[in-house]
Amino acid sequence: MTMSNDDEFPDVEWSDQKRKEFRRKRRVKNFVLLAILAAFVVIVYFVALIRMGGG
Amino acid sequence: MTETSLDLTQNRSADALSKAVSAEAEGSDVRDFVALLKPRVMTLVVFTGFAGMIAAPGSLHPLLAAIAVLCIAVGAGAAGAINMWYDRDIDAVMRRTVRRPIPAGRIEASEALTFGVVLSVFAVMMMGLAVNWVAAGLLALANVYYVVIYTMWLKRRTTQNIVIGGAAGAFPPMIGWAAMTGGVGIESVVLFALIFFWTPPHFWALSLYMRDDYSRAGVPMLPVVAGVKATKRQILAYTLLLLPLAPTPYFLGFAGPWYAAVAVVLGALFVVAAVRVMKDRDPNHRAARQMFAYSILYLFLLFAVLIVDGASGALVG
Repeated sequence: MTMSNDDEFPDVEWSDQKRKEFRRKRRVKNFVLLAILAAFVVIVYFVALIRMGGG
Repeated sequence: MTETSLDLTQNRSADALSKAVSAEAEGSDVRDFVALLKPRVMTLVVFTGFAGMIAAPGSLHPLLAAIAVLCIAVGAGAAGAINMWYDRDIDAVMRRTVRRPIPAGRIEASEALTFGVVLSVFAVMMMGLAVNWVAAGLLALANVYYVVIYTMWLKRRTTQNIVIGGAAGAFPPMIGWAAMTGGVGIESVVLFALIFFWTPPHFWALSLYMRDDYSRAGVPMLPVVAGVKATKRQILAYTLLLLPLAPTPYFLGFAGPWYAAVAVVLGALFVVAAVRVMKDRDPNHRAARQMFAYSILYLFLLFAVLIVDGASGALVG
């Protein structure tokens, strides 16, 4: 189910600009989180290679 | 609980909830999460941790060494985030901290706590799996010490808060050393002691000119409770203790004569700075401000020389 930010924060008065800014910041945070998770996977992969190789 | 106090509590809860809703709706920025990690403190932590690694004997795969540094940085940042979560009430009344993400209403307190705990667990587990469990254990101990012993227990209760609590900031070179050697030697205890004895004059210089802030927040920093004169005496005492301690790495054989010379000169200047603070009658505490700035330079240069010394030794060796 997709929720709008109006549903998530019913006490907040939403203007177009506020909604746009909110969504922009949330999108940036999601991309940063994605990058961190991807980096984590890469790190674990290489650590496993080094440790198993006795390096 | 009386009806009035219940009303007050409900009003505060409602205020807090509405502030939290509004903060979340405003949308916290990625920069706010970075600010939660106290990046300036993290810089010095990473630097001293790295110095501990370079000064230590032994070798480590470059990627694993980089991961060790990353874990030290993330662990320190995580402890900072949990500290900001716990101290949000006093941060809101201190000029120096009022713009932090939680008191400014940009990040919800529970979000900061979750962020800190997740990062802390990640850093410790990663250090254990990638490097070794001694370094991971020390990292976990440093975080618990900073959050529980310093932030929750000592900070609001005793004038010795930063003396005993300062040990938390002294762990990084010991963690770096353990990452390289898998153990804790007398050498890493000396590096620990260097930061431990550096912390009181560093923080007390700051608290001399931030005394009103600490007083307003009810934090029993030494100048607030014991007075300015007593604090200045203590500052001088710690710089005098540090003077013979700083060159010890040379006498223990894990730093060269250049390090010893720099340590003596920097230490002597630190004592001079403390004497200037003793004599200073300026209501704006100009000498204390200068000493605070110098204290950061002191630690930075001391460990920089240790890094250069260790790196050149490794190259020559």
